[in-house]
Amino acid sequence: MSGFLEVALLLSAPLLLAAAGELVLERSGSLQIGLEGTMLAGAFTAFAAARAGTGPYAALAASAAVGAGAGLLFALFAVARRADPILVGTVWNLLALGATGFAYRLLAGETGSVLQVRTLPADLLGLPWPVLASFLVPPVLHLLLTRTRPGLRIVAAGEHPEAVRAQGLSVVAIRTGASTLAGVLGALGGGLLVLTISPTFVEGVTAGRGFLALAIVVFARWKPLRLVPASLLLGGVTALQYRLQALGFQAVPYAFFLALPGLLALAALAVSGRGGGAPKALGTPAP
Amino acid sequence: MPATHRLAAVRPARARRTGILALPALFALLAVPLALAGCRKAAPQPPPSAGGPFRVALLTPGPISDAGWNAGAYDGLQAIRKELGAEVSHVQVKTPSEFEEQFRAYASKGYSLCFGHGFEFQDAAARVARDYAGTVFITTSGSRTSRNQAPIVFELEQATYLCGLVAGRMSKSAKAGMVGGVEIPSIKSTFLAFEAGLKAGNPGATATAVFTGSFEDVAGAKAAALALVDQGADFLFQNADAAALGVFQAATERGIYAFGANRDQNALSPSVLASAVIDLPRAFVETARLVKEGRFTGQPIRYGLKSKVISFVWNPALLGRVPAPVVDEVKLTEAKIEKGELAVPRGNF
Repeated sequence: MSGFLEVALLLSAPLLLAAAGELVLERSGSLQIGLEGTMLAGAFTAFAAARAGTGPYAALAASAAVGAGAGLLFALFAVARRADPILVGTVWNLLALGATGFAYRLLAGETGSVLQVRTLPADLLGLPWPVLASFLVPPVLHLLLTRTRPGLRIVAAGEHPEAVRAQGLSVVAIRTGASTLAGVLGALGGGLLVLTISPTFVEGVTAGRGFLALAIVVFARWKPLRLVPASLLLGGVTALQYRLQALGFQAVPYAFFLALPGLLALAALAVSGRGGGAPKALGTPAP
Repeated sequence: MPATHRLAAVRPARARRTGILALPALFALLAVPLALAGCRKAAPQPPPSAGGPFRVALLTPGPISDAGWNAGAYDGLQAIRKELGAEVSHVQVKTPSEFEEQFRAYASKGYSLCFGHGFEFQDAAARVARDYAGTVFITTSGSRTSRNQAPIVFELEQATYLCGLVAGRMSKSAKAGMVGGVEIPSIKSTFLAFEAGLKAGNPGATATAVFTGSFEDVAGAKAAALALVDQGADFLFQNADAAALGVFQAATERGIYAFGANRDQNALSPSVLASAVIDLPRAFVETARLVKEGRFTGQPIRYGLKSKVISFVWNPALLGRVPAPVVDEVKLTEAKIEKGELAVPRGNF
């Protein structure tokens, strides 16, 4: 596979996974702005597991398990206890950065030593298969949210939570499930990053990708299938801007490309009218 | 963000009204200590070093676990503690407002010496140095000086010039790539010197820089390095701190050479041919000794190849693959730089 396409896919896949999880959570009516923290926790878990001698696939599975825990923890505070999700997410971001940094220093020593891990083998079209499999997640989510009973309940909890409650269902339980899935996918995104293109952990290694994924959800206007082009666009633009710099192209400063995801999300909101397709009950406490 | 908008909308009106009242009250509460601090600032500062223990603080812009720029500074701080018997403290800071806040906090506690680890600290140091005459502020890089502020100027350029020279002599494609974290003058200056060395080795060779905007984004650094290799670069220089491993990884995958920077990174990857090294602990201890013994004059403290704080270190495992004339030329050029016969270009900052 050509260098550009390979790098574009490797950079897109973690964004796509994290955004897909966040999308499900937001469609259920809650939101976790601490996605960066979840990705970081996943990245560190994959690193620590791989250092401890597990194979790369087991390391990826360990990320998923920690992600499920992170999702449940978020739901405990922001869904079940109805704390302000913005505050819980902010605290989670800070906590994850501090805790992974602390744990990393226990592993690598205070002033660090660069520790590499064994990455996933490139076994499908020159890429590890989990990278390509990530692109199947949005269609699966699309079917889940439009064709299945649990999926329709998730959507209902995000649009008309009172109606869901009137049916005798627990909005808290539905959102907790969505949050767990979001945690798993977000942590898998971070784990994938460490087990493919960034074969080590450094403090803050996710470098803002969690926030990028939040922007992708808005840019995709909360529609799963649109996540694929949206994350490919952002991953591709990132890969492209390195290429442009490498060609000596300096007409556009690189800082513009760093700001691009935010600009795209704003543009998507500006052209799509009121709410931009956001779930009606987004961010409201469960009835 | 529609999300936060909605959040505000669902809060009961009563809460919102108390919020409106609470806000000015909060500001009033904040203003009191601020005003007091303002008054206190005007009062003359007693020299903190008189009598009390020698106390030294370090502000780093990134985590000390980076095995590079920040780790070296922290090692320096620990060396100061051991060799000079100082009380030391370290804090990691992110934004310019935090730089100033932490400088002020240490100075007001009577620290004798505060290191701000990088070019980006010099403005904050200058603002605080005016108010605390008894504390010396050292920034590692920069040019601002006063009675109690000066930069340590690491002439790492002298070593990165030698990296460039090696690449110029050995590159088959006559193309080299440079990967940087954030585009700041001190990083660009090492690239400038690398490029000058490259052209000294091969006048027809070219170097291209790619910046990722982050010192932590290993994946970005690798993507940037791969982009450069795909454009034909067969030597990679980097000044990307913790993200450097991405560059080394790309070099290993594509079977080309890379250079280490700031620390001896020769052991990190089989692709690292040599490193441009700063002996940060040594520079920190020497500077702290100046301050402790009252010999600090407010002049920039310069370290180059001659002082041995800066060095060019071959990777012993790969030295066999370097043609002997190149090794000799590096040695000769090194001697010329030390004697001042060859001036290595550096950025004006």
